Amino acid sequence: MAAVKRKLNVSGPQFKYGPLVFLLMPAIEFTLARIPLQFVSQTAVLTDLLADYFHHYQPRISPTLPNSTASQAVQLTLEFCDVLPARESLLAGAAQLFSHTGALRLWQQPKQHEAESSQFYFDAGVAAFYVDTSAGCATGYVTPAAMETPRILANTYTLFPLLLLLRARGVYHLHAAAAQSPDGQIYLFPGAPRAGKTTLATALGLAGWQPLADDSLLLDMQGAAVRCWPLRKEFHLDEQLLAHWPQLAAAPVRHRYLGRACVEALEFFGTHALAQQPFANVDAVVLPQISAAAHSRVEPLPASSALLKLAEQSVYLQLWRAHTARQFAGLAQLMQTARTLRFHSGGDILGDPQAAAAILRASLKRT
Amino acid sequence: MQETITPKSQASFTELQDDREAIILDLENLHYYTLNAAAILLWKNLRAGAAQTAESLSAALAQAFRLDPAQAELHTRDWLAELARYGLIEYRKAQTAVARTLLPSGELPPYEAPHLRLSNALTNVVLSGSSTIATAAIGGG
Repeated sequence: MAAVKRKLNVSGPQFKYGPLVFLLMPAIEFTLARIPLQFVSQTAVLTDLLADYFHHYQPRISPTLPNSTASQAVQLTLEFCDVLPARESLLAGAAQLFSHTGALRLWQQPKQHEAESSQFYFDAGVAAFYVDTSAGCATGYVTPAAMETPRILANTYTLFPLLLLLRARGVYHLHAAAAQSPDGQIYLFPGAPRAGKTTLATALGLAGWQPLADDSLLLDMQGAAVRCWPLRKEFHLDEQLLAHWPQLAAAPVRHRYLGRACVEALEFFGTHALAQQPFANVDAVVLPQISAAAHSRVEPLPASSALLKLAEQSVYLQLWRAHTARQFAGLAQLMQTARTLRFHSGGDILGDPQAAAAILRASLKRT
Repeated sequence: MQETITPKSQASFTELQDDREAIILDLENLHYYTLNAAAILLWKNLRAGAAQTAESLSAALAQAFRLDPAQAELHTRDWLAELARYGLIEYRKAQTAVARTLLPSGELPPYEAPHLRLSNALTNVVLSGSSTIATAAIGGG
């Protein structure tokens, strides 16, 4: 084995995972929520990218091609290609367009009789994925153009097929930030892109809270019990926010892309260990919303609106009705005793990130 | 034979605040309905099989909110028509109908006619799980 080892240059600006040694058939393995995962590629740069993206999970490097059938792991294989394979060559029959969001298209094999679809083709233009959820595996095809923005390849193009595979195993994605207040209360901040989730979670961190995630959580349903795991990764902060908050100057920036900085926020705020623990219920669901007003404010929100927002921000909620029902029940259970608020994030937060915590504290006293 | 009312089996009911705030998620089409207190009372009676006719539901509503029976019946029938429009109930012929009343144990808010508020926000699959989606779309992804 030693003869086939080769050392990568991993200290450049793109990949900073560390002085890794890969084999000709590199694979990385780790467990996400309760699901064992394997990423496999004959191209080390791709496994390196994913090892970097998931570095908080301390992925193990496997010297041989893992046997996914034996290990029951979810397996995602990545290959470089010049041209993406035609969808028709992977999905037999007349595939149906299941979702079209921006440049992303998700196609599914038509239902066979009453059976739900389990084969999908995820087309991102510069990368594509064939996903077979019943087999628990996916193959990704990556063109050189996708490597122009490797963070997007990891954070978006690869994540969506992975989330499909996790969903088939009963682990559901929730698009939300999370933080623990100084008195130990768990706050969720669900919201669409640009709603201000990362801004709020980071501002609260600067005020002494413990941010757990800026963007993604995984809801793990086992029987009637629900557990919510922060998806541990860097916070993707707008560069302008970094410029506003000099307190973040000491926070390690792992990567930069398209006006965003990938900040090691869990390390900076000292919440890495806390973010490894799942939580079973939340104390507050706060819907962030960027406001043009000078001052931030909160307003009460009906619980039904908060639950709707949680469901709206649940990727693939509509897929497989048995899972939809379980996921929705899990969301309702998670926020069963939560206070529900809307947070209008005004200009004052940029000047003083502590303002967010002060406003939330004041709202807590009123209720 | 009587006409009895049955709630749709795919209608998943979640009570968020006892007898005051609840939702129904129709798992067939993912329509999301918010119910007010009077609608919650009626739906819980229907769902539990406690009241299966317009008359028995009206009686439950009148008793719980101390309404004039004629007003309660008018509001109940309007609400049932709304449910039928949304496909949340179906009418069946039956030999007998159960007519008990399931009343809330706690205090109810001031009466408002039963109603549902529909949101279609969950009907389309939107891949909103990443903050880089918008960037990816712009960036030629």
